[in-house]
Amino acid sequence: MQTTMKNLLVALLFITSSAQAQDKFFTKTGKIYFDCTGGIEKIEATNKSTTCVLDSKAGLIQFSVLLKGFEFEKALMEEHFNENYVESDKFPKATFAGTITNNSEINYAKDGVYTAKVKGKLTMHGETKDVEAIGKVTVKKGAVVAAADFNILLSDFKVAIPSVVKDKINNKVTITVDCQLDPLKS
Amino acid sequence: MKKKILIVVVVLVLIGVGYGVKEFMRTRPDSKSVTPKFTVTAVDIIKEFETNEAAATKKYLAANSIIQVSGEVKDIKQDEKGYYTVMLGTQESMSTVQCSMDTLYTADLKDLKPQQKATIKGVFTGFNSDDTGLLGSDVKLNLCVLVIDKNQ
Repeated sequence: MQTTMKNLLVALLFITSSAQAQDKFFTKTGKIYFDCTGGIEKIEATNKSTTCVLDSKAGLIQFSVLLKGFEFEKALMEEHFNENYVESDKFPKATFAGTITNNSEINYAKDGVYTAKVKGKLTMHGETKDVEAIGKVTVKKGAVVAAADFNILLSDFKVAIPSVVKDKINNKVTITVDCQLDPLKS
Repeated sequence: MKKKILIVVVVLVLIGVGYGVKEFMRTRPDSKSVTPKFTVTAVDIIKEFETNEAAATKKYLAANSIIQVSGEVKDIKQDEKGYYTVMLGTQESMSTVQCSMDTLYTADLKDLKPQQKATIKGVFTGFNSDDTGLLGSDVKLNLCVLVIDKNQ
């Protein structure tokens, strides 16, 4: 009986230590959606190649997305987005680097859904702004899903909207993040 | 005479409206039917970006072009929505050419396996240099299709 207990204890120790060792998660195929519909016509786009790294120990999270990788339904919209609005030739990347302020409340070793308060800096179109978002961290079978919705203002990032299309494009953009992160084997 | 001018004006207006509608409804060209502007190997293009990112970005971005890359399939990722991403690269390096596959041609990928050789063409969207030192840097392509070699 005692040996079984001992074995169990050793096994438990082993599990926890190996779980602790896994403190970095990443993806290169995360998804980011945005919607800036102002009128009847839907203006939304999807990026399926977002790179994201999460350091669960330090509570640090980073995203990097190439603006040319956003797919629109209409080619003309995509061209206007790249050429006139975000000027992706000049500013190809948008990045976010932030911290999960309530990281201690998230148990990355235990399956569950946790609320994550994220605070950090978003850089796009040559401008850097503080952004805060309430996201969701889902831990399942050793993998992590990071999801969040938040709004930004185009004017904060000096993205100018010509007055002719002012009623079609919303200055307030809703951004949705959905990244399935795998453990980073080092 | 007046009638003739009227006809010409009406025709011109119709052409204009037609062009406008066509432009408005236009979708992206199908990668499958576009001739690639550059044909490279995965190893070479990664090296090109790692050596001089600015010059390589300029070269491939300026043309807004479709590029064709061949190499070894390092990994195939499929997400819960059925989107496929094929990574071309080597087992030794974390850096890849990351190809987000066109959902229209998902069926072409059913026989593709890691470590096979593959040729893929797609729209170049940029280079994501890795500043964490953990993940490797990636050349990213969008709306990719597998180039099916008829000789095989």
